[in-house]
Amino acid sequence: MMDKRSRIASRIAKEINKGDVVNLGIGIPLDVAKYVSADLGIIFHSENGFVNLEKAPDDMSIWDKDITNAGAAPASIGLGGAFFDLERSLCMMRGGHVNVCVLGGLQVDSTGSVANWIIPGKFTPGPGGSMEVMHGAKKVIIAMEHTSKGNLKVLDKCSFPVSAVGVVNILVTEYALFEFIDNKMILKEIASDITLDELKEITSANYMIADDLKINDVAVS
Amino acid sequence: MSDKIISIEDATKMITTGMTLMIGGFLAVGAPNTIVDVLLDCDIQDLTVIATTSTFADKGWGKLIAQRKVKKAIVSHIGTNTETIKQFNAGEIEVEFSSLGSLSDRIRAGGTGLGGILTRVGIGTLLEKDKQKVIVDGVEYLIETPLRADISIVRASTSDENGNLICRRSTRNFNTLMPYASDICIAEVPEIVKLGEMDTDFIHVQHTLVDYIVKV
Repeated sequence: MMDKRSRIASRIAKEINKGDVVNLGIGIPLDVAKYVSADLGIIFHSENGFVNLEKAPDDMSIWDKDITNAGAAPASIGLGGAFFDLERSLCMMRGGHVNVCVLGGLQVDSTGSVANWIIPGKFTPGPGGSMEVMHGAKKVIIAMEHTSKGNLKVLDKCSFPVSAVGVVNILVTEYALFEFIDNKMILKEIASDITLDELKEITSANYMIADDLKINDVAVS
Repeated sequence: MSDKIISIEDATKMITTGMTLMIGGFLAVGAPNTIVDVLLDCDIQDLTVIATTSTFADKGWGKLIAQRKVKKAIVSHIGTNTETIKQFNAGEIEVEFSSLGSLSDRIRAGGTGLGGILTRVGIGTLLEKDKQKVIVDGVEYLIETPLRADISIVRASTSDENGNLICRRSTRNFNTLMPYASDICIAEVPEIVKLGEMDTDFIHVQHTLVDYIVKV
């Protein structure tokens, strides 16, 4: 059976379609690339300044040291890719030219708002470029664990400062997939190792249950 | 030899207490780390630094924060620098967060004669605090103000003797934008080629924007 993070990342991979230009945030989102089939021709956008992001070569002696990803780690560029500066990169993100983004979250609420840049009083990392891509991308997917050390994260209203209001399209946790449609939060899928009642207990958000609710058999996923 | 080419000591002498600097780079990659390292030994303080992020406590210009030479950072992210986080939580450094796209267009505005930019990014968040809003065609936007610096310090892979710059691969980051938005631009480069050796179709920063070149 997969661990929580792999469950989340592998499920999100199914939301990415042929030809999509995709930006992955750090953390669980980066793992999504592992589960996307190479023959779909997905184009990964690297916020620091290129498209056709690929992992660093296995043989690091041939790695070009001037190619790094948005975490400053070694990377490479695929055939047909292109480099640009940060202004162009963020214009692509805000302008809708990156059509799917997958980002981590501290909290998501039933209005489709997400908080992911401040833990009040503790840690204020800042937004980086995540706010731009949340406003620009046609499909905003949040990848996060359903709870954190017993604290609820899928809320009626975010208690942490939000990063953007009403922008989330899909939330995937290890137990559930929610879609936000016409200002409604809808439970579309639930994992087979949790009941609807148990899910409700760890979710303070108001959500509806889809008529065609799907149960994901996590034992075979 | 071009009189733009100067020593690293002459370059760092221009940087004095209280100045506002723009420093190129993305998490200390494609960044003028050699000049920054010399600044560590200079008697300067109360700097305001505009950059992508505050890099790391032990890598990139974030070392200047660790040395307490910085009073204010205007950046999109500080999460990778333990010193910035510590000083921020203790109220010992001022951090003005700007989401990365707004930051880049604020620099662009400062460098291109614009009075600011309008963006939806930040609406409904803490980043809208104290900012003016305008409505255009029924949509509400934040006004983000321009940014300028006394000196920008950038990194390029190659310069010619005139200061035309090329930044290889993913190292363009803010190095191509900041030269517009500062009174003086200093570029550190590991390679300087003769005039005529660069393909003029593929220059990332035009020499008219670059004041000084430091070979590192």
